[in-house]
Amino acid sequence: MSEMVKIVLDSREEKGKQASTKIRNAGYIPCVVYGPDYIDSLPGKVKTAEINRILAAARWETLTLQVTFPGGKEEMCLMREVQRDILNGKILHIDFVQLVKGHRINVDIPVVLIGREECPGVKLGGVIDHLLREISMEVLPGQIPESIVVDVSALGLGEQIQVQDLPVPEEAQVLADPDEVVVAVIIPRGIDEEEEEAAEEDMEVEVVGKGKGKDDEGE
Amino acid sequence: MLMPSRVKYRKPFRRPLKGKAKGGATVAFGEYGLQTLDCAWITARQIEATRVAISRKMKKGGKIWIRIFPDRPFTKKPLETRMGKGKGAPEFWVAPVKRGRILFEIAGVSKDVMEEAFRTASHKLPVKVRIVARDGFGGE
Repeated sequence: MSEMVKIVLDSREEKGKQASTKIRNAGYIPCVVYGPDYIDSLPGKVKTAEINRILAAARWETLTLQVTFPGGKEEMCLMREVQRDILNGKILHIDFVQLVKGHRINVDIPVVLIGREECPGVKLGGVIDHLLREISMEVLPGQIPESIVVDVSALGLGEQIQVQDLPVPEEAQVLADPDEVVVAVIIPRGIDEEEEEAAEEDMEVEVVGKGKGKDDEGE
Repeated sequence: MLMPSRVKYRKPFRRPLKGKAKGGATVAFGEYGLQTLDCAWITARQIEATRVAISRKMKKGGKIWIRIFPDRPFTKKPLETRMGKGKGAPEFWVAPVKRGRILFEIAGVSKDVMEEAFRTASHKLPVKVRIVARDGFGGE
């Protein structure tokens, strides 16, 4: 089960791009809170330094937070989405989802692989293909697992682990398809096939739109 | 080389590339990705050269994903032709990419091999690139 971290949420009146930029420049990150008691979502802001500390230390997807609201009210929350700038990686916005005791919630739990080095399939030249990196499950707020750990140290070449084989906590209800492949040891492609592909000749391309067709080429 | 099987229009207008990539900017399939820091039209030939360079460095191990596709025809007028008389004929195919777009992804190789593969790959591309890793990659 995940630990609890405290965080303070300040009120935010301003909305929009310019206001959000000003908030970020002042050392805060714009955020919203939604959940059963916040159907319309509540805008707020949190200190960038606090968030950076949390994100650097733990898996934010499953970390339960004790959020102190502007009026002094405390709520349990989970970070549902962290938006980042694609070039500099700075956090732009955070979505918090409210957790209510007794109400089950859908959470994407990260799937972590261990035993990669000992995997017999890899020793035979295979490649570990990690297909499902997060598994969606319905759990009670106090029983959110930090991650699902999958041991691949016994996985041979061509073998796979499916969702139904995962060590899931009893109280959690998995929403993913039980037959979905989580991890497989695949046989890597050879070098020969790429040379064949490279030798392919250019083919004719069919044009489906309205136009002049081929007759409009220049001299 | 990569090219579409059918297109709607043979000779589209050339529109300038501005801004940052809207999607395809995070590592989605592999463990490491090659991210562009410039906007450019990357030709099918450049994509193929990059793929071959990466494959050679990775030898027979690992897996590669190409995250861009050259679906845009690029026209050219023949040499020593006077201006006018219509738009030139499609010559090759380009993939328009904006800043931040992940071009290639790889998985199943060591960090050293990945760095060497992407370093070689960067010489085949007309853009500045950088290596990015998936969040929380690993597990050990």
